[in-house]
Amino acid sequence: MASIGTGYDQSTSTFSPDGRIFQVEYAVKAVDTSGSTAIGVKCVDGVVLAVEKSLVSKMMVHNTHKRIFHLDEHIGMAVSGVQADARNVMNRGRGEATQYRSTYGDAIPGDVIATRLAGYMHLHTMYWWLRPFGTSVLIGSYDQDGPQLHDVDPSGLSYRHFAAAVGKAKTAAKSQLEKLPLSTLTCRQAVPELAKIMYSIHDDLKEKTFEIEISWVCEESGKKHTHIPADLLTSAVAAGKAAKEAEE
Amino acid sequence: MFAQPADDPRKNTLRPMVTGTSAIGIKYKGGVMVATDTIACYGNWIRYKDVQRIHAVSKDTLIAMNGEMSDYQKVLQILEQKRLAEYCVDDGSTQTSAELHSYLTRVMYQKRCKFDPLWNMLLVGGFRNGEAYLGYTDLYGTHFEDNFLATGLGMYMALPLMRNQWTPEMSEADARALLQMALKICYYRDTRASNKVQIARVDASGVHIDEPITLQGEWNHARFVEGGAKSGDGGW
Repeated sequence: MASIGTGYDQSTSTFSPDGRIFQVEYAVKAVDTSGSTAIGVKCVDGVVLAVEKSLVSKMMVHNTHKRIFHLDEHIGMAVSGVQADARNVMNRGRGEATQYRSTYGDAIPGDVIATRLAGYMHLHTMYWWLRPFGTSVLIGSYDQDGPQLHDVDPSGLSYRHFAAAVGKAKTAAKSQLEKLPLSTLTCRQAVPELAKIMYSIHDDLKEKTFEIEISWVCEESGKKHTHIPADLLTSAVAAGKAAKEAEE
Repeated sequence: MFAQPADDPRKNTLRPMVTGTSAIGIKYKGGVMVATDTIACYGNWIRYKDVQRIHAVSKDTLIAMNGEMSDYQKVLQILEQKRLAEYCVDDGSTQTSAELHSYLTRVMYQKRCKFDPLWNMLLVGGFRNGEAYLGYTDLYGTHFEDNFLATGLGMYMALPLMRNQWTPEMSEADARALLQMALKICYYRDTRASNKVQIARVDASGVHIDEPITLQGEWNHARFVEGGAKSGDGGW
């Protein structure tokens, strides 16, 4: 952070003299310091989402700290940042999906839910009695117009991507994502690639143990958002580890 | 000056408008089978001639309806919303037919207590882990299970037949024959029934909703053909 707030960093409802909203910048900072990275790619036949998560405790029950959620049958959300904030956004996303169905009798399109969640997060940057969300999310969807990948960040910005990364190691992840053949990649091919990226960006010095969670919404999964099959995850993790060792 | 609430009381729908008639269901060895016809009537007029009155509400549960079509559509929406909410929980489990039946009963009872019932009688059929399930609920929130069930006029026309002929060892073909016979009787006796019927079943392989079929009636009894000419009063 280039400058400190000097009195203008307490509220989201006031700009600083040089035109910044410090609380929003701090929220983005909170996402990056909270320790997880989420990446996603839009492939020719669907979207794959992956999250790296450090194991908080050896005694924690396996698979109980999920970071990829369903928003609807055809929409998945991978989150990074403050988990509690992310769950609030998740709940809002599910509410939007349900509400869209009851109003229009159809599944919510990916760009609509991304826009609505962006609006929701932006709303939390506009009032002094609210705190911006300390979370960035990736939204993978498959609707009538095909697969789409969106991100939403604490400022309420949302873009559609071919590949995106949010969280701690987003910069390193993005530079690796750029090397993938995004115009021809299939979901099956993308899964081990994402695992490799996860292993290569992981900082072993900081925490040794971590898990990878991968989901997809694609033709193979019947255009439904599901976690990838266990055997596929196992082989992807093995590929990731092997790539990491080869690198070292 | 004074409020006069009695002039404009809140009014709810007090009778169904577009209705489907009997739904029938039976358990058989290895599954559960339900059947309805495929028309919806506005009064006695066959307003809609090709409606589906049986729907899958999960991978191993289906419901069959009787009564108000629009309320049934609402029921389907409520159950779909429930299914999606369960999908989002993502714990690998799905609701059993008994759970869905119970949930549906709570919905029906709550609406009834608001004096705004969902005007339906519903059958819930399912099959999981070798167990067939067949339940009933209605606009009052009644809840029970049985080996064979019917709604509406089918309660009077079809149930006695099924009581005579149903056995727990019935095969799928036996069940189909019994349902077709019951549907035919309903078609003869119930003015709002049609001979274009749809049969669906749930077995170990999941939900199967067959394409509608047309039942052949017997209309060549001598008295039918003669009409009232013989007795001279124009009637039968």
